[in-house]
Amino acid sequence: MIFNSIDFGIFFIIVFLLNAFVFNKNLRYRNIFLLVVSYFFYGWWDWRFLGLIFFSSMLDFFLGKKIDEEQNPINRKWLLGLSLGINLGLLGFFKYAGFFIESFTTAFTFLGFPIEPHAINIILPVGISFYTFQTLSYTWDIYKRQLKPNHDILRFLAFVSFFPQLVAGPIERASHLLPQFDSIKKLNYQQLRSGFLLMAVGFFKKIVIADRLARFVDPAFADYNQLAGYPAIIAILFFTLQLYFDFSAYSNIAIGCGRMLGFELSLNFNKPYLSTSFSEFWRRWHISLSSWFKDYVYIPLGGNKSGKFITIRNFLIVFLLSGLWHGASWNFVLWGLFNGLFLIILDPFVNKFNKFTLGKLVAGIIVFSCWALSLVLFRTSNFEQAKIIYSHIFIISSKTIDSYGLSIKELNFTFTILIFYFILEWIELNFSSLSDWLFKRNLLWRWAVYILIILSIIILGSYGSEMNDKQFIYFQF
Amino acid sequence: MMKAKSNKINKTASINKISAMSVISEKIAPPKTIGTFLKNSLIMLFILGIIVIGLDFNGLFDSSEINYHSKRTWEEFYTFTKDKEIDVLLLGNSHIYTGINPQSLSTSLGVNSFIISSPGTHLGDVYFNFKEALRRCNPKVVVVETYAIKDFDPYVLQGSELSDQIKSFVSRKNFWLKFISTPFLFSPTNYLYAWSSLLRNHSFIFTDPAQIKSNANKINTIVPAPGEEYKLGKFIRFVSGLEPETLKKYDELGSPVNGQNFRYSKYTKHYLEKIESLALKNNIKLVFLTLPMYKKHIDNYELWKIELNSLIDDKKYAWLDLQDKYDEFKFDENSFENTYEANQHMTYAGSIAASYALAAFLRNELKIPLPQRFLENKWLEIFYGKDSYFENCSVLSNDALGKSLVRNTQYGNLYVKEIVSYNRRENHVLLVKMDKNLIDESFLSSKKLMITANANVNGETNRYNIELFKDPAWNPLDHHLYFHFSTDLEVLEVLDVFLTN
Repeated sequence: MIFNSIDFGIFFIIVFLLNAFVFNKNLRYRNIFLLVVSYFFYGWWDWRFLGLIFFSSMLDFFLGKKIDEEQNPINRKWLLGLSLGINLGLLGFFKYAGFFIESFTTAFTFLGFPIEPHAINIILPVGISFYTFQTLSYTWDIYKRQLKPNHDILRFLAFVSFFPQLVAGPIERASHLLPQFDSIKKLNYQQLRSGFLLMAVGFFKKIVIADRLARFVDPAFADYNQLAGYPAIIAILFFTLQLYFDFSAYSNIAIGCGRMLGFELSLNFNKPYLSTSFSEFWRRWHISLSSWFKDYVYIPLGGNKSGKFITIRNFLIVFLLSGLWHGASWNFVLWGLFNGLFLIILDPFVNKFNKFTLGKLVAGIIVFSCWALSLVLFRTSNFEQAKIIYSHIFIISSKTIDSYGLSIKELNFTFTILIFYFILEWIELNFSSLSDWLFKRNLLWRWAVYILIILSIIILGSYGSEMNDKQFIYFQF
Repeated sequence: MMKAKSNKINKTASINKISAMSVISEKIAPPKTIGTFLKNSLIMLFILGIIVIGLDFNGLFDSSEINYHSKRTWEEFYTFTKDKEIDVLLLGNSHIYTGINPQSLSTSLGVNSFIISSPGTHLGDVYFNFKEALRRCNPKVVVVETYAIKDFDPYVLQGSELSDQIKSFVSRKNFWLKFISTPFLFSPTNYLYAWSSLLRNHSFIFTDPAQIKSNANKINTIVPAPGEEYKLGKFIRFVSGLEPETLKKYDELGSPVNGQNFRYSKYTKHYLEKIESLALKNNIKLVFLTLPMYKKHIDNYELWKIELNSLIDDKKYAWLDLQDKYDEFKFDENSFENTYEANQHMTYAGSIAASYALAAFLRNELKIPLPQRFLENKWLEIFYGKDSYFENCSVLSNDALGKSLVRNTQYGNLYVKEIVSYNRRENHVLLVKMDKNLIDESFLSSKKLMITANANVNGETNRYNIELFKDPAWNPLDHHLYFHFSTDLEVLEVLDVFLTN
């Protein structure tokens, strides 16, 4: 069940009404209800993987308790290792087994020992990267004595499987989300209204912008052999924007859903494309993952406190792992490496521009362009395809941009709406929250905006009976 | 000064009063709750619903009606049934509206026949078409074309199949029937697309703004096509037959359709039973018709037939299978659409041959008692002088539409029923009809039919010997039919009719 489907619309309305009027009065019933609907939501894809999420949750629930009870530091370490080993083992098996087998085969063949491994076809359980990181942070925080274990299995299961953020984040820390399952907060009008607005904005970003961009991006990248010149530049630009609008739309909808059910989820994007340095960009892009890597990889490795060389090493490890987290392919590893190098090498240079106003614009363009170029690796299936596209960027294309699925009218519309959107982001970044501003307007203003957003989705959205509901890009991870 | 002070005091007092009132009103105003949110959501949903329904009602996002076959058919059907009966109702998908010529069928039987069909659809759609049609007519026979019998599942329809289903659904006019048929024809995901042209066609903003503009200006996009293509549900798109290039493919690549791949679904069986019970309930004879594809187009048709047999057992239902009883004399390369694609339709020539075969099946084999409307004014209003009329029926009065040059006359050993002259588009057409009861087909088959006639060519009248030809597709029930077409020769008087070798 994906957010941009009728199925989800019906599901959410029922869940919202039952939660608001029936279950949100009794903590135990509320948690049971949320657990059931979250498992239903997850099982809609493939019920077989419900066992996996249940096992993963139970394991960390009991190991968390054991780690907390255990006083012997060595035993504590062993228990943590067990949690990490099993969780990462499951993730590794489902996500990386094929990749490692393929890499070993290539390596052995390269060394003159060709081997033919048994082909294995493993289906990647949706959201496994997200909930594995979520449960890992739980046991780690308990180990570090930063969190007390939860003793209510129901609350813990509901926390791990909470459906708005289950399959594509934000990756919640137990310290932030788990306590919200310990009490009931009465839903209030303001909370519902802002949740609703966030969802509407999320759907707008997904259906009106991201899915329209995809209609250019998909055929363009599929035609990677012919993709060249300015259509290639537009394709890279559009994918860069598509990725942001698609993923941030998911986060908006997830946070909005959560809020309408009485939960506050973490911010995942904070206008990353207005960043004027690489470090700022990573503080604003996929915040929940970036901060996870910072807290559970970068800092345990020593962070920036052990000299320049160790800091650089730590950065590179984090970015390589981040690349690998995204996908089991060398493309993602390279993508991570590139972004790590941008941060290490280019950031000091870019920061020099940040001292004057026009320089900030230049810095922003450099950051955006490097990120966009790195995303060719993210979007293509293998390094060969990426190499072809990189080598064709500066040659004249035999094809025009309208040969890739979007009419000139749609392209103009897309550019207009993107400019308008980023002006709004800039206003919000430099002045005040637009939602706060809106909520202070009178009824006519507010309703006009709500209706305009929804009508825009209906009239300008890229959807239809002949199109399948488009998956969110981050579902594949 | 005093006045100013007093004004100031009054002003202050009134401000205090307003502040106090607002405090009171804030105190007494009910706090906004989930109920308020729900109420507001419902109001917003209502407003949005009104906007969407308004735009739908206004037709701003309607599709172009050019080539919108289903819609044109239902428009025509509702107009037709205002004051006319339908005796033979034909149901199916694009195969029947290209494969049967209702003019030909009607004029050979003396009935009103009408095709209700939607391109690309299946028996589920046929059932709901049948159901809606029965609200306006009470036919004696319903003919269901068997290409609508296929492996379909309404809940997984996608792409062009879904689009065809939606087009057919939208074209039906009875609101209640449409409402109750929705869950049977669509998955819940597609309900809104089926009902709202705005949701369905919103992309016109980018892809077809001219259509929105013409919808907004209420410009009628219905362009009557030449030759009344939509009359009686007919829509014959293909005129020329298979070309040598395509025929070569059959020899090189084999048949594009393999009968062993034919399957039907549980839904097909379900709707077949529903069609049967609806026909039974209304005392209508149910007949199945299989229109042919080119003989080399289908391989293993016998396997297809076995599957079909398990569904429409030919012992139980009346079934005319023109693929099985493929008549190479009547159905040749000119009878079929020039395509190697799986879905091959018939041409105008093919539809004529199939219509006569169906007419003969209904009258001679099934012996269904059908009304004889040959002399009814309403019937004549529809058919007189139009496509296929003179080929099947007699001239009633010599006029610009057609002239009877000879009637019931013996020429040597030949008895001529009628010789008709009429103009069709740029052609002078001459028809010679000879009674089938008096002259055997085998007697004519090896001979040429000639006439001696005074004819006008470029304003000059002379005597000519003219050879006529027999088109195997044209096979009226009661007479042999010979043709002569000419753009410049117009027969004025027939002097003799004779056969030569």
